[in-house]
Amino acid sequence: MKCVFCNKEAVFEASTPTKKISLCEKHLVEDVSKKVKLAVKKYGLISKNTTILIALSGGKDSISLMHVLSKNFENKIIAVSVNEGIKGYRDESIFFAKKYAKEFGVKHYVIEFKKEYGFSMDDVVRIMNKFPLKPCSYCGVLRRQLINKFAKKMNKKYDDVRLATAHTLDDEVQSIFMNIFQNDFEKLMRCSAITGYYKFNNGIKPKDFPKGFIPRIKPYRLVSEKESMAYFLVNNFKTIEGSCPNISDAYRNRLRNALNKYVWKSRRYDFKLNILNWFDAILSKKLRNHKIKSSELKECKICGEPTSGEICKTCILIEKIKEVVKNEIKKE
Amino acid sequence: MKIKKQMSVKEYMKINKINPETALITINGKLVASDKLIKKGDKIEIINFVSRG
Repeated sequence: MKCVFCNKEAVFEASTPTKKISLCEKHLVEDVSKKVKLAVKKYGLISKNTTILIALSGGKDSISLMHVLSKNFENKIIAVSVNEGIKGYRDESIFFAKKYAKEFGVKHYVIEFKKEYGFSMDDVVRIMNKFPLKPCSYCGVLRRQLINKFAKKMNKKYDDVRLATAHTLDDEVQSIFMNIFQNDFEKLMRCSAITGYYKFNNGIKPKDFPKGFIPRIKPYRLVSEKESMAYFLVNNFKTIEGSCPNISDAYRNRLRNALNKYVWKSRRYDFKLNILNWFDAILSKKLRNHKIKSSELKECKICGEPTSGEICKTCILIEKIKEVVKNEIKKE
Repeated sequence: MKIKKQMSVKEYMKINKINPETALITINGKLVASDKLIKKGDKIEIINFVSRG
C-alpha cells in the first residue's frame, strides 16, 4: 500500500468522512498536525497572545499533543504534571513528561498531592473502604483543583493562559454518549472544545470569560486515539507501559469497548467523527444565543473558582477527603 | 511474538481477533499498514492503546 500523497510505503490508514486514506510516516505526522490546526481554527481555541498550558500526564496523548503544539504554534507553551503519589506508576510517567518537555523546549512544572494536600493517592487508596466512590473519582477531582490553582497562578505571570488537555476524538465521543445515557443534559452541553457556556465557533475572547476562570481547550478533539498512538510511534517516543494500578472498571471503559466493537463490526470508520460533527451542530445552535449572566456566578470562598453557591462542590468533597485521610493517618 | 507462516497484517489481525480500532501492529519495531506481509521470523508487536489510567 502506497501513501496517497507521495507514493512512499504507507504505515497507517486514516479515516476521513468519506473514505480511508493510506499515509506514510511523514504524511501521517502532517495529517495529525493539520487536524490540530483545524480544531484550533474551527473552535477558536488559541489567539495570538494565548499562553498554552499543557496538562502533561506523560502518556502518549499528552506527549504527542505537546510535540504538535510546539512544532506548529508560535505561542508561549508551558506544561504542568501532577504527581498524585501512586508508587511505581506516576514517578515513571513524570520522568517521560520531564524528558520530552526538555526536548521540545517547553518549561515544565510538577505539583504534588503530598505537598499541596498533605496526603498522596496511595494514602487515600489504603483507606478506600471509608469512601463511597472509587479511587478515580477522588483522584480526578483533586487533580483538577490543583491544575486550576496552578493555571490561575500562571495567568498572573503570562498573558491569556488556556489549559490544553489531550482529550481525543474517542474521549469526546465517549463523553457525549455517557451523558446522553445518563440523561445529564447540563454535562452534555459542556462537551465542547472550550469548556463552559461560551459563544461557539466565533472565536473566544478572554473578556468573555467570567473572572477567575481559566478556559480549558481541547486541540486534540479531531484526532482519534489511534492516530495519536500512530503519531507517537512514528516519532519513536517512549513512555510508561500499562495502566494506573488503581484503575477501576469504570462506566467509561465499558462504553469505550462497546463503541470500538461497534466501529469494528459495522466497519463504520467515520462513526466517531460523524457523532462529533452532529453534536457540534446541536451545541452551536444551543449556545448561539446563550449569554452568561455574571450574577449567576459567584467565586468559591475557598478556591475562587466560579460557583453558584458560596463554596463549590469540589471544595466540599476535598474537605471531606482531607478530614477522613488525616484522621486515619493520625490513627496509624 | 514470532510468526511461522507468511500472511498479511490484516489476516493476522483477523485470525487473532484483534480490533483495529484498539490496536496497532509493528513489525520489527516499525509501524506498518494492514496489507504489509509478515514473513517467517518477523517480530510482531501488538500495541494495544486503549487501556489507561
